[in-house]
Amino acid sequence: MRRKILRLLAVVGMAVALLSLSVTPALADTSQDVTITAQPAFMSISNAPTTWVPNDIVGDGVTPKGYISPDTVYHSNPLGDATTPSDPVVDGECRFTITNTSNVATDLTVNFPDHTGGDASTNSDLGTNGATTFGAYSYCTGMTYSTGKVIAKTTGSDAMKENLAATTDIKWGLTYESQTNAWTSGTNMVSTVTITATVYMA
Amino acid sequence: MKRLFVVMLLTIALVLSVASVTGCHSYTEPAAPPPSTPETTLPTTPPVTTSPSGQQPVIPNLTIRPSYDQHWITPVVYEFHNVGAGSVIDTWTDTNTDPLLGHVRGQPLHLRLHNGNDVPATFWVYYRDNRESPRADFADAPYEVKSWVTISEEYPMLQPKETRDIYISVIVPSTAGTMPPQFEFQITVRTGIGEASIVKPEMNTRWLVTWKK
Repeated sequence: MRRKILRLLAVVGMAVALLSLSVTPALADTSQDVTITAQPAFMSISNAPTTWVPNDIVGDGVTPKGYISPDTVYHSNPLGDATTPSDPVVDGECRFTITNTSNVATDLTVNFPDHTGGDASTNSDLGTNGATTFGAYSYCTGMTYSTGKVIAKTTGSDAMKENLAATTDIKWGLTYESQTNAWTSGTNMVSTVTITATVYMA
Repeated sequence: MKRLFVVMLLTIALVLSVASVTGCHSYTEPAAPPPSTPETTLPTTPPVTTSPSGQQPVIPNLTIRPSYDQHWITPVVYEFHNVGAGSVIDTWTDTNTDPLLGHVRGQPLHLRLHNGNDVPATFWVYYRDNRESPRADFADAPYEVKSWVTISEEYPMLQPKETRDIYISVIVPSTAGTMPPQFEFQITVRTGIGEASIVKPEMNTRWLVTWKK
């Protein structure tokens, strides 16, 4: 009799263990415990044109074309490669247009990574040039260029435009100061610039 | 001898029972995603915009609809509260069902992307190592947070006018140590991948985490 009871207990114990493995929910936190909120907001930006070759504006008096001189400042200013944007910057001094159909206000940030190819000039992240390093700024319409232009760093630049209203387009541009020392490779180099929209939060 | 065997069986059964209700966690695959719904109807009245964390809320203009001919993403800000070691964030718990966001309680957490082009477009969805326009009241996410985040498709190629959900999960290991009370990480969607452009727009989403006290 005693043996039977022990057998029965063993079977019941195993059954309980197996059942608890299959049906007991884990006690770790899940998304049921974490509160998630998100607003019905969307972001939508596009940019045009999508390219810029410094010193490409024919007839602006900057020669020779198709060549970037060392230690020279170039602007993506349709009025002239060497024409410094005004205070304040006007639309006509900006090469690029951001089309913004977002339904929330956004911050816009421009990053200008190191070049690849050719002399592979790197961004000083200071806005100034040096041996093998270039300086870069971003600017946008309405900005006081002389004091307000924003250093375009490799990454983590300050916002070029804060609190851009929903569905508001904006024109913008780049300033590039080439490295101080002469080119050695004689071949092109390229960098992929990004303009990043992040929802504005005061 | 037999009695010893029975006692051993009982002991094993007891250990298994205790282990299953205290420490083990089994990850459950999210439910099958719903079909994409490119054309949606927005709610006519804004939802409550008060953030549980008391932060400045994002106030979208709900009269503006996303364009069928532009790239767009939604949502753009997430807030997670009561996150702690062992948290698994992969499912919407928000009771506010919104057809634009496409999120419904119990469905997988996601970013919704739309290709506004007339040709296929490839996007790059990535965890951003350096925050843009960082929230001053939220710390940088500690380095290890990146390893908690899983993105279902990092280079989705969308067909013309296609809308697709990219699933995101945040799985905090049970061994996670001390974290800042509030921190932010960002997931970015870069457009123009594989195109000749050298100026590429990005749409950047904020993920604001409040750590369990």
